Amino acid sequence: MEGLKSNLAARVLAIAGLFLLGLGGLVYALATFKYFWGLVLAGAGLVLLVVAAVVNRRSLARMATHRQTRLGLGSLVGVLAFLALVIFLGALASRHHLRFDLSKSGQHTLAPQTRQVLKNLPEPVEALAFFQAVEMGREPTEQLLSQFHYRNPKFTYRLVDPDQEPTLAERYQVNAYGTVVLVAGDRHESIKAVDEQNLTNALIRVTKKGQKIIYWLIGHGERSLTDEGKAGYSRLAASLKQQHYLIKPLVLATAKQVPADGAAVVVAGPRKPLAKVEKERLGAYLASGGRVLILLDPQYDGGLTEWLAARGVKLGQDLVVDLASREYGKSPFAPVSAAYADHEITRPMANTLTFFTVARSVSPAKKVPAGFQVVPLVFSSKLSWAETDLEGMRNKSPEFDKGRDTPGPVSLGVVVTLPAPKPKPGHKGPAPTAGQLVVIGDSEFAANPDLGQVGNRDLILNCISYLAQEADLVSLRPKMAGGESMILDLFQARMVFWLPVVVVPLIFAIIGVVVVLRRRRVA
Amino acid sequence: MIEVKGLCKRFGANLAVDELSFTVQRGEILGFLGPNGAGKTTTIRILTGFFPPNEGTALVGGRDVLEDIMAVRAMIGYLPESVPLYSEMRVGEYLHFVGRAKGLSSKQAKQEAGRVIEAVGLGPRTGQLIGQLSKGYRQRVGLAQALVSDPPVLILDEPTIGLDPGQIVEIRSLVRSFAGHKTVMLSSHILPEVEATCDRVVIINHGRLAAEVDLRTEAQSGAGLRLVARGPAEELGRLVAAVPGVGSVEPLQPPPGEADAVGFIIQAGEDQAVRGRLAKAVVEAGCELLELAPAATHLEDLFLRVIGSEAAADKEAA
Amino acid sequence: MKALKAIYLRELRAYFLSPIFYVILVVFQVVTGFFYFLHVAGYMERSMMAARNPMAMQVDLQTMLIGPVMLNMAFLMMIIAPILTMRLLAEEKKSGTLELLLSYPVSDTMVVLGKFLAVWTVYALMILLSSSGLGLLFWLTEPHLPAMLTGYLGLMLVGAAFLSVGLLASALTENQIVAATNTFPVLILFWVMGFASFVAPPATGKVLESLSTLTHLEKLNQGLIDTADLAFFVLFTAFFLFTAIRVLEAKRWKV
Repeated sequence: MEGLKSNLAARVLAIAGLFLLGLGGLVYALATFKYFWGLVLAGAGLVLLVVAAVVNRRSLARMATHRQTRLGLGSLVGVLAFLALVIFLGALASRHHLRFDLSKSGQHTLAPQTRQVLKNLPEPVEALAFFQAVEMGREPTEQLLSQFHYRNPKFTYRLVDPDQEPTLAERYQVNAYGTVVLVAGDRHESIKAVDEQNLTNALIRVTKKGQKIIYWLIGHGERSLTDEGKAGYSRLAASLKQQHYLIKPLVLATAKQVPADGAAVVVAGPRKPLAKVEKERLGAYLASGGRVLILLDPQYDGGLTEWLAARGVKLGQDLVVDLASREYGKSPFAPVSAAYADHEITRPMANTLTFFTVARSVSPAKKVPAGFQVVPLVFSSKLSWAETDLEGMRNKSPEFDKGRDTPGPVSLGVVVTLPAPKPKPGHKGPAPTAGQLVVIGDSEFAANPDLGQVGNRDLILNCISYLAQEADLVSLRPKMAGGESMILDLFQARMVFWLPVVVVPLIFAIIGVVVVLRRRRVA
Repeated sequence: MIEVKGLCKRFGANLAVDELSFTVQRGEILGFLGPNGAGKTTTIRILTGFFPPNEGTALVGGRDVLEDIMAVRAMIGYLPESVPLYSEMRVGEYLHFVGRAKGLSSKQAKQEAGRVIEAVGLGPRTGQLIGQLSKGYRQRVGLAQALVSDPPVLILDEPTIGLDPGQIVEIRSLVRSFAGHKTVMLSSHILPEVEATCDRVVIINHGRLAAEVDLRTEAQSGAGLRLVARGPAEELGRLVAAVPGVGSVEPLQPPPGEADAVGFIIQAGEDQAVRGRLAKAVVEAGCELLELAPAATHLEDLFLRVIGSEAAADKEAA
Repeated sequence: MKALKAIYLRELRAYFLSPIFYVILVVFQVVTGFFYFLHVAGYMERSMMAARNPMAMQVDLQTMLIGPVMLNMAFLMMIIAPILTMRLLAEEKKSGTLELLLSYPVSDTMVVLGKFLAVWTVYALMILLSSSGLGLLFWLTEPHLPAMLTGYLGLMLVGAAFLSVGLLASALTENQIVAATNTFPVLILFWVMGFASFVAPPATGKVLESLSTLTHLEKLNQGLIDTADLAFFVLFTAFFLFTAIRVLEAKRWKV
């Protein structure tokens, strides 16, 4: 006992050493990167322990032989030492772990493409998953994120309650629970419908260096990105800039063709028709795999009606009237859309409304050129129709004229996929991608006053990012669940109740009574 | 077989065992005496390795309780004072479990259980729940478990407490039968029991060794005579010493309730006639002779003297 | 080793002969059985929806039925474990039988391990005897056995963690009720600790989450074996058992 008292310093050293060892283990286990500092700490702890042992070597020798080890040191220090060891082993185990997926659907295994992307991750990426603390249904997202983390520790994630950290939610413009924001350096990408494919593609986008260029057609009274007024697009410009798009004006009349460095071309609500040569150049761009977004307001077709018809799009010479809009306090000329086609652009927007402001119908034409694919994208409500009597509406309130007007739901936008261009002889590298065209029968919905409406910003940004997306994005088949359907007949349903709830417990109750009674008797 | 040297055990500020040293020879039956709280149970618990001593060593069969407690435990059969048993087990089951816990195979354990049940006379109670047994039978089960696996050393803490006289005699003769082939340490505060069964006695008080008495040598030399009379103490002392045949005279604590009486222990050798001469001398001197008998209760005197002197010393210290 | 086996068997027998064990077993069976029934009803509803509209709804037996049923079992066991462990050491200390047991060539480690293995066996049996419902699934549909067994592995490991905490609490006191009432909040704490990652600063939240029993159980529950989770449960249990042994010694020495 005296030995211990006189070597109080050594004891303090030893405890500090154990503490550092444990702390180092924790850091090693949990730090995102630079976790070797954990090893440094643990090493320092070991050094302290050795120093303590050297300082105290005389009584240590005695301790080792017997008594003190069993007495004073035996309990508390023993437990602390064991704790340090456990933490360190736990750290090692969580740093170097293996996973075995025994589920039927392989739900815990990432697709090879995803693993490839994770393997080549150039920089650390943090995923912020915005969930309410008590929200159900966050497990799939959490599990997916943990699988990503398992494949590459440079990918980290944490759960954020947007109500607890409103500034964070604000910074990344999160407006729905379940959103995941990937942050890499000063770039970020947010995903609303979180699945493996979306997460992987967002990961590709967020780690991609450089800016994508969007060409903005000018010269026909298009909506201006610098106009901060009611008709302007300045708010959309800010959003695009935030998503690292570089927007350049495009004067197609003087340029020989659409520059090759552009990711997409936007034609936003032209008031005057495009010249023939412009239309030709636009068509050539599209045919060679280009991406074009066209927004056309009613009565202003930009001279593109024929041009579109040649590509399988029917531009309605009409105005969509939607009685459902009244429920939202809007004019019937502002169609509300809650119905979207199952398309990559609109898939994250389920249950999100889009408010258009005076729209025309845009639908697939009856005659679609061979090799073209035209699908509707977004619809007005069932209470709507496409009013063709534009003159008559000036005098009286609109009415549905059977035969003349198209009944709702009316398609307000389409996606056209062109046949993929044939690779030039001697062309190397990946096959050229097919051109794509998105047409929407309204440009005002994305203007400054309405951009903030529920789904409006999502719709326009999704269109642009879909069109401008890289060729290296992956496409994964969604994993199927186990699919063990179970529909019971009456007998089976009865068994499900009676066996586990009544019969088995009763058997053991009887066994218990017998055993206990027999026990009372003298053997 | 048991060697205790400089043993100390502290419980906080309280020193329960203080520099205690004694030995028990192989085959010897040692009485371990002391008033309640003297440190008997603490010493025993150190020997069984229930807790380690703060200082000193304790060896059983040459093995240190600190270094090699498992070897020590393997040599010891122990009956704690309170006879703690699993009351929900049957006697036979329990003894079988004890054999297994002591490292016997299932078959050996069964044999041993049968043997010890026979030895302590538990035959008819084998199938009974321990919780339903009387105090006497519980005590027998306790003794039986100590005997399982036939350990060379038995440590029995108050083995006859709470038993009726017939049972006491049985247990005593059982313990006595171990003499010569087992080393027994019998802790007790019942002096006649110790005298009747033990070869040697160690008396401890306040955790210290108070006295060691070899009852075998005492018995051979004769305990002497005990004389109690009423009269002037000094005169009586001289008178008694003057009687022919009287060897030595030691004053004796007067029995309680007779404060004015005087007592002596007289060593008189083999001369039986000395008793008559003593009685005559006392009576002739005009004193009342209260008691004159062989000092069979020598141990009790010794015990009381030891405890008494300690108590007096404590008083002085205070 | 023989002594360890003797203690193990004695303890096991003591459970099977005590009326309380049967009461706990039957209550556990009825409650888990009823939860199972409710989950089956819910799963059947989903199955019918999935049959009507395969795009909108998919069913997965492990994540939607077997997993939740097993999580229910684990949660109930968190309440039952303290009752199973409370008497193990506290009673022996109080009645003094521990002193007698330790006078045999038996170490504290063997006592603690023997008792732990016994109560773990009892736990395993309780789980097994309450699995009649899950067994029925082999008749009703086609469960994926590897995933199901992984779920059971999770139950066994989380049980070991629960019981080791209970054993430590039982080593700390002579009062069984105190042992049980001390165990319960600790188990709850380790169960919900992971939720703290929402409110605590990220680093602390991560530490707390990685110490939570539920966090590690969930993966096994879904059919995913991660060696880090196995290590967590093994180390967690080892630490509490080690501490229980040390406490058992130290308490005796200081009395």
